[in-house]
Amino acid sequence: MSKDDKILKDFTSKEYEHGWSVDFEVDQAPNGLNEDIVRLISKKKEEPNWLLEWRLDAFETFKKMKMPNWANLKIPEIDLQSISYYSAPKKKKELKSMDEVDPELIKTFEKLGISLQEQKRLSGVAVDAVIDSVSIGTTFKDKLSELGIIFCSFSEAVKEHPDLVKKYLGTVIPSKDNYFAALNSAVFSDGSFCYIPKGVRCPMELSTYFRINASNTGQFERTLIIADESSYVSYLEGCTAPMRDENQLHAAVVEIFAASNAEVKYSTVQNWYPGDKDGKGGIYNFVTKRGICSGDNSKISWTQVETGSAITWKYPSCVLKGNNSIGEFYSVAVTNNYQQADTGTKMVHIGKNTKSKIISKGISAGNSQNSYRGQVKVMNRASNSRNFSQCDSLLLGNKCGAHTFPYIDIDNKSSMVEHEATTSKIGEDQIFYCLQRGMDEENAIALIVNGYAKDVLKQLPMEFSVEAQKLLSLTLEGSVG
Amino acid sequence: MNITKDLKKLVSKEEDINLKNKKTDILDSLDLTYSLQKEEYKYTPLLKIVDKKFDLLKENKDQISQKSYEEVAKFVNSKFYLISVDGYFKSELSNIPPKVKIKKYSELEREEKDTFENMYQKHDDSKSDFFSSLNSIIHEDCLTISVDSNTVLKEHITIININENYDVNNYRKMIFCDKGSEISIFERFINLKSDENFSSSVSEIYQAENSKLNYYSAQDFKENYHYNSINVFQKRDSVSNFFTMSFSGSIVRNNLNICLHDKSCYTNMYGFYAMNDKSLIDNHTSVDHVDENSLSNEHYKGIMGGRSNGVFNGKIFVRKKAQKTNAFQSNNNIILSDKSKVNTKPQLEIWADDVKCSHGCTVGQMDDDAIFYLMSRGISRKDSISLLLSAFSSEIIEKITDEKMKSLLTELIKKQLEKFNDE
Repeated sequence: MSKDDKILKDFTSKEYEHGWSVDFEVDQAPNGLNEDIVRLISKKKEEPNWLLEWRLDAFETFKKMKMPNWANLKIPEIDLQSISYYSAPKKKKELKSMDEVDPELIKTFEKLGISLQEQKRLSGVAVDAVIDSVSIGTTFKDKLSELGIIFCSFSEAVKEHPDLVKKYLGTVIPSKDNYFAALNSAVFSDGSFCYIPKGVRCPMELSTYFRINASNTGQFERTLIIADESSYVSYLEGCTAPMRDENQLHAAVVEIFAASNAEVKYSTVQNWYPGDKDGKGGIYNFVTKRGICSGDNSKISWTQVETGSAITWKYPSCVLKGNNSIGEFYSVAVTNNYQQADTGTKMVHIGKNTKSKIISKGISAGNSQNSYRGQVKVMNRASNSRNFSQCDSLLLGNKCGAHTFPYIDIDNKSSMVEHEATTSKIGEDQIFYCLQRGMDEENAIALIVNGYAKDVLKQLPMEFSVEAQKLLSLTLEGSVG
Repeated sequence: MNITKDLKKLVSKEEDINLKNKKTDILDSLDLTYSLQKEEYKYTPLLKIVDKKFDLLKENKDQISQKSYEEVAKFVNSKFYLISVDGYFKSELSNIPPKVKIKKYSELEREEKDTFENMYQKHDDSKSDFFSSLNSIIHEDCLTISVDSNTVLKEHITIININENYDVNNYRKMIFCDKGSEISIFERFINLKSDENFSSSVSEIYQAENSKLNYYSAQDFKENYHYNSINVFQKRDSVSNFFTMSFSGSIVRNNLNICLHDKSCYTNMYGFYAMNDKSLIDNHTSVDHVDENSLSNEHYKGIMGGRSNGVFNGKIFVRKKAQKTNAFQSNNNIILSDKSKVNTKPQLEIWADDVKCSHGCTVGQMDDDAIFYLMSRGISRKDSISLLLSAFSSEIIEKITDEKMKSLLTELIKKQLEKFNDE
């Protein structure tokens, strides 16, 4: 076995670092999906009647829908009836300060490297940590509320700001949008809610960590971010899940609404358990993410680094409705072993002078399949709109695949649309150049891959950038194509 | 078209027992719900011709009208030409080159038949495409062209297909290029029928080792519907060059499927389309790299005016075994009018790692700076635009090495570009 193969093998046989699970006392609903479960979730969360109606309506739609099969994925049949749709750590008492937080939970955060206290004191990041569907601790809330920023768990928002939730919920992604969005709308458990009032620039990065903890719990997060006129917010989402043998389903919905002159930056690092080297286990990640640039001069920017999940089905999109609005999508998707990813974006140009930019970098190794699927749609009235797309793929080894499916639909004569894509391996000459300068092969590859993904990585906020670079170097150690 | 009934009738009329079995199989698996066609015909409502109640059944008219005779004369521009009317091959009107055997499939001798029987319906897309299946069942004569080994034909062969009497005309041909042969083909379709009609053409091409094929086609269908499918199977060290020029047609669909089945194959696919009025041009191409060291190069350019709609879908497949593959694809479009549209989808599917593949596509409009530059030199706006448009087309034209073909096609493009003067 050559050195390269050995390194590749060593890496691929690496166990999942974040694989552990903490036993809380869990309040869990019985397995199965039916109208009663939807009612139960709503009742447990003490929701108003309109929200229950909305859930039931979505559930009715969902029952009529079929699992989509257009993606370039092999999805084993998912038995929705064998999943529990609600699990919440049992409430011991009202939590007012960090000291009251379950010590088990604090341990969880420490293992994840996001100790709440430390975060609060040192990094200036407000963390709304979501563990198995219910928000446990929310920090920096007071500081944010001084500015009028609402950043809380979704269920809290339903109780305290019902008007806002009612006004925006489902406006960007209607419950009928697709199979998984409908499922989420019916049974979503919790998530984050964020409202930035007019003219406010959020002084810190808002962050939330999702963790799927209890086994066999479908995680149905719902995030709603509303940026009112001339506001700015940068939102971070990080995901890790413990190691489990059975596949776990994750069907989240993220909606972003940007009013005129508002700017929203949404960053994700996803390193959920991808399954072991034989493709056993891992998370199924079916996420619907969409933002609407509703007002003029608004901007939404998606940045994602996807290294985890057994199956990823994810298309963060922008609807550019306001004139001069801007949509951006930066993505690095890495697949290894038997991972499958079908990811990309949709840019829908409706307003005049709208601009969009897509930078997608796919890296496949092992036996994985990595697909980019994107659409750029320019409507007839979107005059002078502009798009630039670049989607590159890097192949490491000859058992993996890289696929590109870009749809470009142009219905306007004054628009400019450019798309380019390349597929290649790491050049021997590039490695040779580095070796010649005294680097070893592993460092050379890490350097080249980081350079390859740099356009995306530099879009990430500091806190994530370091983690993402580490993840990338780790994933691709020693894999000469 | 009352499809199923008519098709059954047609199949039952087939005399060749082998063919009859094949046709029955295709008819049985014909996807009349069109569910498989959804993605492939996303932007191209060609299936609507099925509702047009075109008559599928016809009798072979032996006589060719004086009018067609005169028309044909205009299009014959080479020494060798093959003429088919309404899907029936007319050998008496054709001039067949030496060392090339041209016959109807039904008239082949036993030993000749083997070559083509192995080929017949093997490399076409009749399993996946409704119109290919349809053509397989209802086509009239199947023309077979067999080029002897090491035959090099300097002069190109013009294939002229005339739609004269019927609503639906179906052409079918098979080309067998033996080892080391080299030929050029220029295919044209002529519409003499005044009412709306539908024509389809399916070609299967087998290129043996070291053979070379140049294939030019110019499409001018006015307000009619056309489906064209060319399926190529290439063996080691063979070379193919395709030039597809489309100028008009209510809906024109071109499928070009190339399978580079062996080592060191080489293919170039070039396309140019300039449409105005209410028309739709759809180019679906696919290149399948099966073995090592092959190269494919694809470049399609289009100008959309009037209420035209341009669709492009390019697929590149690189199989696991096809290391050291180079595959390039690019599609550039200019939109001239507010009512025209472009839908393009350059698609890559790659399973081998030691490859160089790229695709690119652009949709844009005339560069105002370039027009200004020319106008500042005293050239009128109109002339500036036509100068820039012909420069846009020249990138494709320049790739033609045969001087005669180059001037023929340049002339056709020039004529078409004049239509854009008013936009």
